[in-house]
Amino acid sequence: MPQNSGKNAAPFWISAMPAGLKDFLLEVGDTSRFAGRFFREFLFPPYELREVIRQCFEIGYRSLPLVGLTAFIIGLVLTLQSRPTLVEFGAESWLPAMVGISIIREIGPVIIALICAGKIGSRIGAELGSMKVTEQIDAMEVSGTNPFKYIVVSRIIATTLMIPLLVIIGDAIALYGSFLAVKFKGEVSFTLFFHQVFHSTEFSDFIPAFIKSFFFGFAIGVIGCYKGYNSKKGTEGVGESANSAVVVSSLLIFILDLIAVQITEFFGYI
Amino acid sequence: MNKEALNNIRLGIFVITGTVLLIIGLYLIGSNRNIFGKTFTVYATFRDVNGLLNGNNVRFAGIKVGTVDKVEIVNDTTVKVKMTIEKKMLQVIKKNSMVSIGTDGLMGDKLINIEAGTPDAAFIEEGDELASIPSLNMDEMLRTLDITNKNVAIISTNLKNITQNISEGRGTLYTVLNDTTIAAQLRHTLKNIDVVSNNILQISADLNAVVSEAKNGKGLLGTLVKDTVMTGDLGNAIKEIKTAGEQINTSAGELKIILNKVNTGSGTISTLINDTASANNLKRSLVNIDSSAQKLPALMEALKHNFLFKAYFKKQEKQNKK
Repeated sequence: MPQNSGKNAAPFWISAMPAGLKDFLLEVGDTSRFAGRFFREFLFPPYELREVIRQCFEIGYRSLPLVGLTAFIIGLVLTLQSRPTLVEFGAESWLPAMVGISIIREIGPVIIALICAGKIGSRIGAELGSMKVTEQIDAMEVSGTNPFKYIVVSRIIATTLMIPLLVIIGDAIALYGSFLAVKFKGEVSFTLFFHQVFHSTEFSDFIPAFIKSFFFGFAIGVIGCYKGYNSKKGTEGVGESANSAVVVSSLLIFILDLIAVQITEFFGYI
Repeated sequence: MNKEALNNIRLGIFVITGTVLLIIGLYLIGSNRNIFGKTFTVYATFRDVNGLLNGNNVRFAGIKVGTVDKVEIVNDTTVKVKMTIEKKMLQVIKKNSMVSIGTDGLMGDKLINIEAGTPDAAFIEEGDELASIPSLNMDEMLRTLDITNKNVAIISTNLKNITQNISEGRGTLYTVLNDTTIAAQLRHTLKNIDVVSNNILQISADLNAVVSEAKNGKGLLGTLVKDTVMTGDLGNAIKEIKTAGEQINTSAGELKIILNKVNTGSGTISTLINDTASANNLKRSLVNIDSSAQKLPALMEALKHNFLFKAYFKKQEKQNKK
């Protein structure tokens, strides 16, 4: 029941909320509206294709060395760490299958998305925050260009499309790293290793992981753009938006992963 | 070439690489499930599929040739399994091939093994149903093992009690194990057994020598074994013994009848034996006879001198002299 009779007065239960919870809900609501605006702007022309391609290059291609190196190390380390336990049980031949499924199903998408959240999320947050601080966004509005379409939509499309590609390439590099680790410790051919990996891999391992990487990319793009687009004035605001873009998008990746696991299990793919 | 174009080429390579890897991955996973190859369908029915699932492998001679497409319950005792098999196997698998459910390794996934049919049988065709071999039920094996385990537990408890009794100095076994007297007796017994066994050995050697002699026709036994004339005599003797035996048997029968009569009280002997009055009379008669016999020589002498019998006795004397 409202306590005062003003038209825009908040209901009692909202006023009684702790400030932190109120801020959190406000942030969630604003981010959702921001994402909704993206879909509205994305569906209707004009389309900034050139900017989308440029962002794909910046986000996808330029992230490849970092993602590739990380994925290679993950594949290598995961294999070296798992091997002694499997050897103890006399199940060394299961190593490629186990590492393959782990990488394709979970570790590949999540780790690569987190790396991208760090690299791309902070980049977008800082870039858009600087544009906001230096009033470039306002200038675009004045010049008749839709800044949201040009800056935000292009980046979100680029992250949504590039993260899955980075995940696939990263998975392949991680599997190669795993192969080198197996070959380093024992004698196994390239063909046998990849046969063992794909012999035990199902579409139900690959498809859900591939689909969720689109959501991870979308989350990184939306959070990075939102934080940068709504950055506070001043250099401190730029740093804060870059930082919170990484933190929130990383957290959101884990939440999305949890939801994806539940959905996959619901449809009986686990 | 400007920088933007160069970047676009790089991006193109990146996108194509990712897409190619995606296609390769999908193809490799799909080829494991025979999605891209030509296949045909066969069926098999089981009573229990032991956890077989859609997508499990089908093997022929240990080589993967297909996958399980569908597992469905027909009724309470029948489960029908639909298998998708590579088309090239149409020229390999025979109609009378048998299928069984196995496991990939000790703890691996379930799979279907197709065993080769007979050479003279026709090749399999689309939609055929293969005969199945009932598989070993792991649960049943574990249940049996569980019973065995319980028995082993009981046995070990009993053994524990026995060893505890022994260690605590209870029971006969403890006495046997710890009593030095018994040990000494046992040692003595063993020595005796040793002597007996030596004797047995000696006897056996002697017996061997006897048998050897008998074989060679030496000694009484050898003669008995080897001498045919003596064997004939022995046969006759045995026959005679047999006849004598029969006669004794007959006599014994008759004697039995007599004794029966004696016992039942019929006949003179019975009267003599059983009737005490007659016995006394007989006794008296015998005494009288004895006394008469003693008097008889004197009487005879008197008769010899009697004139009535004198001539008779002289005549008798003359005849005796002749």
